[in-house]
Amino acid sequence: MKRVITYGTFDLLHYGHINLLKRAKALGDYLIVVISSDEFNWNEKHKKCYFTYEQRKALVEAIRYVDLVIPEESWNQKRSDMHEYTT
Amino acid sequence: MGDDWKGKFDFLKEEGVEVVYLPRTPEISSSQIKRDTNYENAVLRNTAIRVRGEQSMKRVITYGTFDLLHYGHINLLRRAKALGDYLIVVISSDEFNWNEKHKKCYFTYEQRKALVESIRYVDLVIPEESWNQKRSDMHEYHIDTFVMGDDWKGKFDFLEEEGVEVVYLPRTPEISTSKMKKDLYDANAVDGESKTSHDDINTDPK
Repeated sequence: MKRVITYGTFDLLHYGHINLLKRAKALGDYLIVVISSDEFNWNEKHKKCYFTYEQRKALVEAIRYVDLVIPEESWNQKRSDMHEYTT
Repeated sequence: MGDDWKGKFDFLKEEGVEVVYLPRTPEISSSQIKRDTNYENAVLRNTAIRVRGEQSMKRVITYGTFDLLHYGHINLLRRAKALGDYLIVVISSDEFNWNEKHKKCYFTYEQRKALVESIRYVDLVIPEESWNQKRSDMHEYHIDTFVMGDDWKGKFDFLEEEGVEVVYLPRTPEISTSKMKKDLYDANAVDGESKTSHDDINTDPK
């Protein structure tokens, strides 16, 4: 099984997100979407979302191309995610 | 070839032939025709109509604008789908919104459709073009259950005359597209743009 991962905020969902998720899923069999947590957005990106993490997660989980949603908590999580989600 | 393939077949010159890319005719393509004629919808609709032959399949329909999608929409669509096996979502067309509801959407019909089609609970999306389409939709799509949010309570009971069950599901509290628009247009409510550009980010801090 080929596993694909992408990262983003996914605050106000639009067809651009859908296009990306659809093409990302087409690159493999299992798509993981990592959504920045509220704390990460605020502390690291100085960005306030309209929706909370849980609300953004609920929306992205409902997209048919998405298999798993997990939070992004720090910038250096990406390297370890590559190994943690291999199996 | 058409020049949308420009350069892609230059390697055939190695085989001793001239390679020519002709300018495409502007503004027309098979995919455009399919979009304009609603071809994909027709295919899906035919599938839907074939499927209705199966008596065991319970068909559910709901109507809405679905402009700025939020978790309230997802809650409604999930519960609507759970009432049956096949969920049809009817999205108001841009003309219907403008002429009948005097409402301008942020997204076009095609953009709203693309989003709703990507929701895993949704099986078919079709346009709403007029107020009196609902009665005929019940028969055309062999609907068993008509669902709306309970802000419409009682307003569509007349559809029971068409032989369908009418269900009003409780709305998710404290969220609506209208509220989102109000909040978003309020310049102070949300800082819409990230203050950090991608170039400012050290993406590999080790």
